[in-house]
Amino acid sequence: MTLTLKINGQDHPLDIDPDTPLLWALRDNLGLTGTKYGCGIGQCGACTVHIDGQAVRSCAMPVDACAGQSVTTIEALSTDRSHAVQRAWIEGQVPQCGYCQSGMIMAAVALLKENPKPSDADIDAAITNLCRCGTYPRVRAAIKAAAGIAA
Amino acid sequence: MGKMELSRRGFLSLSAGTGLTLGFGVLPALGASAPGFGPWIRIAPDGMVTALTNVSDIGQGTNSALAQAVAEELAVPLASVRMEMAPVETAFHNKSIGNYAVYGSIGLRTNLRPLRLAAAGARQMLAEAAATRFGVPVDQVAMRDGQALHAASGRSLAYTDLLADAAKLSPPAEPKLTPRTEWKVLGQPLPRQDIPAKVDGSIVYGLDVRLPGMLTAVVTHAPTFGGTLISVDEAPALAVRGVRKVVRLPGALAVVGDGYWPAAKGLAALSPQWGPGPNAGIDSDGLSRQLRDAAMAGKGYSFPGSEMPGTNVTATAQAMAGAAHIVDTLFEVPFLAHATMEPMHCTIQLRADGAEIWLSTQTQSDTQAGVAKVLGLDPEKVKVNATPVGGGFGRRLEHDFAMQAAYLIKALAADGVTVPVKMVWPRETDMRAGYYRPAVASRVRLALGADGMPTGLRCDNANPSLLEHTGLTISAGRSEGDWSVGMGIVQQSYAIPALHLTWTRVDPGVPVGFWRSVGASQNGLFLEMTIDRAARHVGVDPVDYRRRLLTGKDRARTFLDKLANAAGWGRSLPAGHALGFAMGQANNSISGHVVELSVPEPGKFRLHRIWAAIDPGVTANPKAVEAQMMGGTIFGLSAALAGEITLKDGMVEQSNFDSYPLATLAQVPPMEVLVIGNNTAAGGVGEEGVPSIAPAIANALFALTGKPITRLPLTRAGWAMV
Repeated sequence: MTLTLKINGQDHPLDIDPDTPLLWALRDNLGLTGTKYGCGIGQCGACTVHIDGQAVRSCAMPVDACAGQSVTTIEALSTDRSHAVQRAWIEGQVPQCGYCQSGMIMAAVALLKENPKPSDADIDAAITNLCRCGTYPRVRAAIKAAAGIAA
Repeated sequence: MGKMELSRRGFLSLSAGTGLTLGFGVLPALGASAPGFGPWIRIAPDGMVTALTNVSDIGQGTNSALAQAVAEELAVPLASVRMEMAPVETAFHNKSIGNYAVYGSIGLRTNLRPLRLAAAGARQMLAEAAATRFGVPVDQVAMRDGQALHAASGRSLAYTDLLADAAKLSPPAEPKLTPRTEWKVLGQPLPRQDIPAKVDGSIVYGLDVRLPGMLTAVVTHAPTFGGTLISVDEAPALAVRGVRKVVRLPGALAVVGDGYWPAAKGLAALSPQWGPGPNAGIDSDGLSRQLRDAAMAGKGYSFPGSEMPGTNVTATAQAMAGAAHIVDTLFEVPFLAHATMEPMHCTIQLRADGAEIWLSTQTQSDTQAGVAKVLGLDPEKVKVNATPVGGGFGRRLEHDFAMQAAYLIKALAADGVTVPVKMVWPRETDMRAGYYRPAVASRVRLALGADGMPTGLRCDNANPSLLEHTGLTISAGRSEGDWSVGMGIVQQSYAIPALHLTWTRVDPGVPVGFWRSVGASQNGLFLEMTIDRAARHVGVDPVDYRRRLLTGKDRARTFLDKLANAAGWGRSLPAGHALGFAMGQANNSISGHVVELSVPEPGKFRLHRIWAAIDPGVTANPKAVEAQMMGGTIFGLSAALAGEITLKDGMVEQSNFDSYPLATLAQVPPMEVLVIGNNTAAGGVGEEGVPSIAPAIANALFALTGKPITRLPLTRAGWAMV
């Protein structure tokens, strides 16, 4: 069947099965590979995107549940890495292998949108993405830096 | 890549239109000073410097540090240096290991000096060319920011104007390295070059590779190691829209489709019948008993001193016989999965006269050879495109998955498929595919003399051999025993006069391999818990006890003091709090941890703070070193808290991050990292954060409760972190 997804401000008609997870529509059908596959069960958060501004794990979100909503991926956060979170990530030298970082950044952006001055407990609760390289201390510091909170 | 012709001297080449290739080339073996030949560094007519590397970017930042080294020694702006993966050819193998791979924290320590020499040699030749043009002695020429300067006359020449002249000169026999005191770029906490592309989704990992017309294959394995496919009805998969083929592979089954989802859906629709194979009887409880019994029997291969430095069998036996006390502990640790965030995968395309692959790997030359073997090709007919890697930790030292992709494309080619195929392991397949850190039991006996200090150490190990299973070809050679069981026990600085290690091979048929820090990942606990038990037995503070054990070992003792001071060892603590200390040496580095924790209720502990420290000798980029220590610490923490792969009826019980939990951001307390080091030789950094975090926690719990931790994960020792 054909359905239309609104990705990064553009409508994309796609002829795919409605149960296809958004992740694979992004990666395989639209070539947006910045969003990563890590677990397929919504556990690791490497696939985090925004749907109407909310952080959502796209590996567990069928495309037919996204129809009519606005999806934003890491590629559209800025055109030039100028988003405050991206700048904080570079400044704080957060990524190691980097594979989980698209999802980590998307989760952080959603957190800061909802809660511009998150406490440590807020960060603990919101950032449940997994990172095997162990970037968590710098993730926390970069979120605070982006929020203008002294570390 | 441009042309890389070698001159008769084999040192410099001038390729018309492509600039100059300067090379001390084949990076010589670790510690060797004689330059080899080959084009490792080239300067383009626009001044851009490209340096080749055989170190995969697995997240460790080595290539950025090497770029700093090139910028420093060549005296060019860091922004004009870019690192590029060298072709997978013998000429570009890492000479210190005899292949093209990165493991054992060798990236920087084997490449830093040779690359510095190459860049310094190039700088000297450019300086000589400039001196001739200026008509002044070379010592009046200063090299800075890609320019040769003559201060007295105010003249300057860009390197790009000197390339042709420099190409005619002979290379210096012993290039002069920039002294550490004059470093401006190297040693600085500068931003890594790979990071910008990691914050906007633009970096292309192996799993992100897309080729025109490409299909995707999703793989599942036999549920038991060594199991075989008996039968499968392909129809349910082929009925799924977008599924093209079902392919039978050795011990595995693949569904090929237009993308990941159709293939995964097709695979899920199948009900394959698997034969159990020879290993269907394994279960972790039985294996645990077998390992413990074998360790207690201690009848295994006895390592000679030539394989385990410090060994003295007779003296160890005498120490045990004459001991005032023996600290005697039976330890046990489980299999551990690497669980890289990016699962194993390989994209493959057959060509008229060969094949091409794209993948995340740490082991290019073995991968090339393995794929070539499956396809009946000469290795050089397999072009390996090594992409940035979504985590390695040793799993990508294996090339089982690349060989599987070769079997797959071979079967598909026989079926008329000519397009490239990206083979992907779903998380569940990846988690269950083995090459785990070996499960180990070890009886550790430390004999103490009348003065309470150690007189001999005996370790009776039982475990499967990773050297027997790994697909990594290594130049170190194999002995009858598996040398990895001694890592983290031998060559420590502690004054332990005699050592005796034995190893009993207990192999349940589960593939095991290299896991970040390898043998030290378990021996860190075994030795450091034992040291704390000894200290407690004689009533000495464990850090003071180690101080005594490190008498005369200035580097290790200084390290210990700095770490202990950073953590405020000996300060008064809140009621119910304790500190735990552990350290170790590997890869020419010293590393350690102090943790502060409390036990709010029985069986539960709270981690308040972690201090991590490393002395890696040379620090090429302290910010990157700090990241590796943080990362290694958290990697070790995941294992310590709840990491284990268990088997029941031959099948791995864990399958995804719900059953193989990793430490989370909320679980990691504030952490301070101390980077120490002023030596001249570069030590390892990538693995050094792992071994000592578990024993630091164990020793703090021991300090509070008096009960030693003899088993990991801590959940198996009755402890949960809250």
